[in-house]
Amino acid sequence: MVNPIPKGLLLVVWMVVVLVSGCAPVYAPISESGSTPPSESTSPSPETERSPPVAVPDDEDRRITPSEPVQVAPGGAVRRLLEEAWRYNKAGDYDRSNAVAERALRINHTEPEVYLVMASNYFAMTRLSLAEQLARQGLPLAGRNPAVKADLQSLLARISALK
Amino acid sequence: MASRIDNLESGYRIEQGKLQGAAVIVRVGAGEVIAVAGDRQAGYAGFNRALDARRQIGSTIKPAVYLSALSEPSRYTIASMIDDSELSVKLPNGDVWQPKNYERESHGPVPLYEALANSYNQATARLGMDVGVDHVAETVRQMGYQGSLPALPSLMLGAVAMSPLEVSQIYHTIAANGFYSPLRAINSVFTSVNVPLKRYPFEGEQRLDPKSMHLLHYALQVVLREGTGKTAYQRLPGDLMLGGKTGTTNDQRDSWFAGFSGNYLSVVWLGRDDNGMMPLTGGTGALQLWTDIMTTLDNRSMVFNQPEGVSYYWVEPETGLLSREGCAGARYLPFIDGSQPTRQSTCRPSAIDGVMDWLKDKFRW
Repeated sequence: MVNPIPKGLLLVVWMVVVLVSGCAPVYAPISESGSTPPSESTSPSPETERSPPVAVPDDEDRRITPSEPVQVAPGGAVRRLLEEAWRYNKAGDYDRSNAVAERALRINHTEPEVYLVMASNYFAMTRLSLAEQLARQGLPLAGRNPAVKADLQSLLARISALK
Repeated sequence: MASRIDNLESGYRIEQGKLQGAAVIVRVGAGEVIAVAGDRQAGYAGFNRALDARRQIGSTIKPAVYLSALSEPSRYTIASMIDDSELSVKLPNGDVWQPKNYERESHGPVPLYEALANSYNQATARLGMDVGVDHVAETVRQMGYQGSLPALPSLMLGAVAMSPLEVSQIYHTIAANGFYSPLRAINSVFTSVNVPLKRYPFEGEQRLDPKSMHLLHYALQVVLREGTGKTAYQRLPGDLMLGGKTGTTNDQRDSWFAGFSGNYLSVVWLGRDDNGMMPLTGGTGALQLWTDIMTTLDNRSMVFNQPEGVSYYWVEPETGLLSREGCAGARYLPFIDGSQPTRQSTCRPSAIDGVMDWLKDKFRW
């Protein structure tokens, strides 16, 4: 059986509801003359670069927060392209490997393994500077993929040793 | 594009056929140009304004000014108060430069992110002069602009002519978190039997510090959430994270918007071929076409991962002091480690917040 809520507590809840609703901001559009988008029949005279106002709900909704690094296994198309790129890499056809990796990059430029395969190709082609740049680009994206992260770090160490 | 320009002409009583436009769409990260429109009739094969029309870019340059400042965290943070009062700058030739805000009003001290979001000219000019013209010019070059830049204070407000493609290059570096890669329209050339003849591979380098880029990305989101670009969210989903900037030049001769999602960057210019005045700003003109374009694309939210060396704090924007969640006006702002405010405001969460917290805790809302 559920315990009944005490009357005193109900009163507190009622007061809170009343106070909160009383404090709730009213979001009437701010008047910024002339900046309304045109309709076919109006003659606007924009006087401010500011665009027409829209209701901004409240501070909570205005909060801009960093996104969590998403690390999921590459999706079907990207996975297949990466496998193909690695095959060309192992066969020593680095140009073709990069061409395929770029197709994966086109689909998802936040996939760290794309940068790993391209950096590995350029490392093999002794283009160390570009290999390093690409590896560094992949590293912050590899947050939750320890295997790719370790490979990128290892590659950077090998590049560093050669420079 | 054609229908939007037609609508703007009729809505703003612009002489029919006078308004022109150009747009470039780039795949973010790969740096691939996937669409170019060089005329209000997208299929027009003549003069291509997206590639060849160089027009003053106005406030579209401002991210370079703010990024230059944010790259000096010992001097500037995203919450630094910037003076938006009127200013006069004496030039070497004796002239006096007196930039004005678009709406001819001053706003006093404003937080840095707000000065960018609302495109305040006076605050930006003052900030840019403090950072230095050379520093700002170097930032624009780091972003990928290869043309000449005037070593004049008016550079801070975009007194430099660029093509939409050149602006796209700059904004692609911003969208790619400071990683510069030359834009490409061709990846490879093959023979008729599919043998590769020539490759134009993806290349690039990290030119701008990801920590200061993160702060800039924050401010460019505020442009679209609360500033001069906010009408975009009337037609784009609220949970889609976007960054961008409006641009309007003197006498409203050019209307620009450059903005990006996680996978697409679009740059739009509107203006007249005779460089005549228009009743359009970046927000009322180019932004509307930009929004049209973005609504047709399968956008993902911009990548806004918190880099190492950046932390978030609740701050009271009017004072720049540390605040707390729940305090009136408090904002959750990013700071490069070591540059965050150290003094605490007097704000404490209100009694009602305490009651609400207690109720939430008691009944597990």
